[in-house]
Amino acid sequence: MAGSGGAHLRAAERPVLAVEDLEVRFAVGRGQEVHAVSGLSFDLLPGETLGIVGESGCGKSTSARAIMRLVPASGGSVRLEGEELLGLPEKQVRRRRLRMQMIFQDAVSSLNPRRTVRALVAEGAAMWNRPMTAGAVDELLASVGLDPALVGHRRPHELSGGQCQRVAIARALALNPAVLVCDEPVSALDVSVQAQILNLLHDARERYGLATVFISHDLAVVKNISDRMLVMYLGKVCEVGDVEEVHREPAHPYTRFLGAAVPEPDPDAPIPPDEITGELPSPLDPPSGCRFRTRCPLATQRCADEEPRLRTFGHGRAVACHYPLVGGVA
Amino acid sequence: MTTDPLVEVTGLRTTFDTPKGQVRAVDGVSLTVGRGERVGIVGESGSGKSVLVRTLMNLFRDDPLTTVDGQVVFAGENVREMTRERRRHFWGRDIAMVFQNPMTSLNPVKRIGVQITDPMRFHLGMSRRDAREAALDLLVRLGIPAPRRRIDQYPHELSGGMRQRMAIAVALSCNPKLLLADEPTTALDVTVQKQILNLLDRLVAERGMSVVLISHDLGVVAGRTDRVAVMYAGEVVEMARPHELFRVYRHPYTRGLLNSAPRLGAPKHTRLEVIGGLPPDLAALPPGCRFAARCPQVQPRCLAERPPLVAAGPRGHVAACHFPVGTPAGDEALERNRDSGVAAVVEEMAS
Repeated sequence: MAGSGGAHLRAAERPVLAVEDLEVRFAVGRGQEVHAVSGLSFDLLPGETLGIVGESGCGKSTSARAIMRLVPASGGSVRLEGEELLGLPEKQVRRRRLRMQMIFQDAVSSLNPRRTVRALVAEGAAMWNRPMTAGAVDELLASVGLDPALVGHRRPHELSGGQCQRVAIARALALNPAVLVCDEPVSALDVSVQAQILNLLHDARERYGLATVFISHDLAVVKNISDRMLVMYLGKVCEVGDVEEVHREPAHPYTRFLGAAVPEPDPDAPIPPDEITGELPSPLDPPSGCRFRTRCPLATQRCADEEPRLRTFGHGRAVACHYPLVGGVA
Repeated sequence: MTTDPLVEVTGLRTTFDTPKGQVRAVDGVSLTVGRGERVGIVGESGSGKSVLVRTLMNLFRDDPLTTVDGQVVFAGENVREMTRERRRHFWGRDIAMVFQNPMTSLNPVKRIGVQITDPMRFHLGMSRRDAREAALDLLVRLGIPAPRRRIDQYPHELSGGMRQRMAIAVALSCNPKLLLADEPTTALDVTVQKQILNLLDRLVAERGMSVVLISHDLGVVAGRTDRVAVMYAGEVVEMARPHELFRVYRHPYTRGLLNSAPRLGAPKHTRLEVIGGLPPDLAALPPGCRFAARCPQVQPRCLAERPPLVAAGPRGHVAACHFPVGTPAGDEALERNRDSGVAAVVEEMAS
């Protein structure tokens, strides 16, 4: 699962966000380093939703934070609307963030507990000297399904988790961004509320033509919201492609096992046997070659010796595997 | 199985005294668990699933702010009347629990092996050596690599999935008659979740144990239980065998739960069914049906009269709804709301 390489990038189509060879390393003491993200590349066309899926520790949240420049990247490139973000002075980055907003898993703690809902929504725009009218704030609240008269004056602790996530979305939309980065936005919510937020994100995207990076550990959620999806494992990309195609015909063994592990709410669906065993190896000491090889039933000596690179096949798909399930042998 | 139930819960009520008032976390639940039966309990946060099983274990016995009413009979014995002496062997030997977070349920300063062998020595009177051998055997069965090394490690030295396997080993150590698993895999990744659920299935089947499996995820209980209860606002609103529950559900909340979860098999951008509004405040419950304010087929009767849990289909299928889904009365109610726009009124009520 090497997953380095940018063969799948679509530069000709003028992506709104292009990430190339993104690298994030954290020092963990005693001279050791964790490679949280290595060689991540993807691009995002206007109005498109890219789902990034993977298990805990695969680097999906760190990627989002590095793209937002909330954690420093160790290498690579992040271009927003054609402009490089990595290496820009902090002051200029803040201005660029007007065009790229983020919402988090824990919406309640992402909101300032001392501000009212209206103040939270208006805050960002006011900071940039384009104050919103009270009418505009209320209109935005209504568009995310909150009754301004009922919740406009409340503070985050007086709202439910789902309502806080709606406020966070309104707050992000207030700045009219081109890209919305969502880091596990529905993972803490009950399924009925999760459906409300997913539908809302879908509508917001249609209405504002937003491009979205949607990060989740839940394959079914990613399948529902995304156009394309990217599967990560231990800091690397396994596979990218149209979400329907990847689901129907996964090319990377890991993608298939991930799909087979999702419990379906159907008592007649056979529970497939465990094809994948063990757990994620330590990112401090990742396996040589393909990082998935220690859990992969198809692994051979070649997987240990040689890191597979991402290569394209079919219609806009790419896979990093020596023995992909579709797309021919590398 | 119903002829010889292991557990019989009747009219169970658990109320917490809080500054906000009396919170009725579990409100009138009756439930049986047969010998060797696997019962799933699903519901969203705050529906009372965890409080129900904790009450079943009698964990609130000394809590001055908690009031418990109703009866729990375990193998013919009244759980709430057990003496302190009896309880010490009831917990661990007759009934055991696996919690969501093994980091807090395992003792961080004791080696794993001690935590598995302590109950064996206390409840079963095994010698130190025999208990250790039995523990090693259990770890092997739980698919733990290098068990001889793992058994002497501390919980912090293990991964999340490994810790949960250890918590299961502790729970199974004395071969309890009933295993309560409260969201045992919620904190784990799906690939690990599947391994652990399959493992639990196998061990439980081998030992003929009864299980209560709690989950917020309908997918987790679907293929792994004999009967599923759906809880909402402290009540069981529907209970049936999975085949009936997932196909011919009668309660509008069950339908909402099933249809609001995104499915892998559905095409991308499928519009999800939404259950509008929020669950009721457990300290100020409405007099009628608790789901009424969010229900697409609510009728005036639902606001006034609490629906009892009554037969709704074959093989013990029960539901608590005046206008059950898929029956003429339910269809008519839904139609009426569509025509007259009552749904809009209710939505307003809910928000």
